[in-house]
Amino acid sequence: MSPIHSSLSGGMRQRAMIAMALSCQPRMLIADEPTTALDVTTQAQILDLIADLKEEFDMSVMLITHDLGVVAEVAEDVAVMYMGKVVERGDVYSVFENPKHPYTQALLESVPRIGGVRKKRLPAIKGMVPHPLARPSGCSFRTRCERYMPGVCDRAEPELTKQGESEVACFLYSSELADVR
Amino acid sequence: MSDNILEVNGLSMHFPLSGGAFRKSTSVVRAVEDVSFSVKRGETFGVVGESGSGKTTLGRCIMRILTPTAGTIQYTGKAQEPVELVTSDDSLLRTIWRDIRMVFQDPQSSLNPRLPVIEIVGQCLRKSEKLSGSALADRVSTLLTNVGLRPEILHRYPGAFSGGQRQRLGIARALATNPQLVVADEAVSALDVSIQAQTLNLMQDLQEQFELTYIFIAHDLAVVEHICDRVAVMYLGQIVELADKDELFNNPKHPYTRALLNAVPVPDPRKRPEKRARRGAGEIPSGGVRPDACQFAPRCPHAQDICRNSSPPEKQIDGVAVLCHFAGEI
Ligand SMILES: Nc1ncnc2c1ncn2[C@@H]1O[C@H](COP(=O)(O)OP(=O)(O)OP(=O)(O)O)[C@@H](O)[C@H]1O
Ligand SMILES: [Mg+2]
Repeated sequence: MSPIHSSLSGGMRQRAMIAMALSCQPRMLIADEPTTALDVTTQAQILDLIADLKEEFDMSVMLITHDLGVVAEVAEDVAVMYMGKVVERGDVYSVFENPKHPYTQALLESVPRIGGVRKKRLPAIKGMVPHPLARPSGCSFRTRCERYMPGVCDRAEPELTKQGESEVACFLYSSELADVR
Repeated sequence: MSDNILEVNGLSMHFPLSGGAFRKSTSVVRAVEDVSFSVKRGETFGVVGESGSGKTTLGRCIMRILTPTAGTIQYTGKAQEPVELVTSDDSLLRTIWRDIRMVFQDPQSSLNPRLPVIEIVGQCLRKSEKLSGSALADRVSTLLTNVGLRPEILHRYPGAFSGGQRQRLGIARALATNPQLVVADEAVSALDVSIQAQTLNLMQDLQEQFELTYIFIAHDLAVVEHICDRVAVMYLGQIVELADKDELFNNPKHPYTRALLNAVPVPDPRKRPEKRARRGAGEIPSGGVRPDACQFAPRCPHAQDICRNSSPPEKQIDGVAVLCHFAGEI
């Protein structure tokens, strides 16, 4: 790839990248962590730019990021992934205001928020993401899950199923389990 | 004993712009420019600002890795006489470096990949406390346990560790000498949210346990609001606002602080339209600003001629120090 001149600031470089990606009038733009290395001010400009271009060119955007604030800022629909699988999917309001999967819930609780409820400690997800070769049996998240149900979650992999406004892959919501209870 | 562990006065750090080999360079990068503040014992003092605002340079001056161009830095340890760091010689600094430690930005490059964990964390103890053999291993094992790492990794190399684990190694290394003041430079910035939450909790626990004072350098304002007691906002080498955490976040006074707060993405999709409207489309200008003007003027929505022609005075408003001609009026 042609080197983008190194005297450009991070924000200008990122804009040049977006301009290059848009030069052939795509129907869809995939942006992988487009603002992760940038300052909040520059990040806000890039996100506003992406939102404006999306309107103008009537294009779809797939934004890949670990920053929940960025998602809330630009996305209409959200898919939450854990160890290579989508564990929850829905419109941005459902996922942020009524998260169903314990992983989504824990993620949203572990980010500090400006002006949010002051907590002395942040609720952190225990442990770490397992090594990809040491994937737990059944639900991959069960080893870190606060709602782990022995004998259920370690037996089979939960499927993504419709729950109200969103879809979730978790045995807390599966009907067979409700029957067992 | 002074309540302030650190008092910084008129601190400047100018780097010469690399000129020709024979010409003496005349222009400088004013990485830190006439900065004054004090840090209270036991508090967490936040330093925020955009990339290039001079946060790391400030930290490196306090550590005396750099010798400031001007100003004074007075350190007062527990039950100790005040020490002037800027004029201290190397032998005095070596003892100070047990008390003041830094967690470096970018653990990737600050941890030597050719050294095992026991050396990375314990090297300083060989020199300062003449520890070796099993005494050293015991001490390093305790430090690892303190930061939530398993002592089994003592003889492993950092290359095999995750970002979060490396960050913990950096913290363990900083704590090795029982310091009083820890300068944490972007200590959690590279971590994903759940590891970040774990590390912040850990830092708070260690602060209580060891009565630490933190200078917490970060660009993530939500993290700063969570962990800090007071916050200094830096812009191009200067502190433009210094306030208690609550005051800064509820009632920001400098236009730059407001711009920063408006730019933070909030994990709440309903706030989106309101936030976009408040931001407007400000361009970041390139090119220099005269040193005797408000450095923020080219980006400021309130800038007048006076801002472009003279340096703003430091004003005190409701106990907050603000560097702005129109502080309190806008
Ligand atoms: N050794 C040096 N020689 C010359 N210029 C330097 C040196 N170190 C830093 N600078 C300059 O000083 C300014 C402040 O840099 P510094 O690293 O302190 O910023 P920062 O606030 O830590 O940024 P970041 O958020 O990216 O870490 C920058 O313009 C930088 O280019
Ligand atoms: Mg820095």
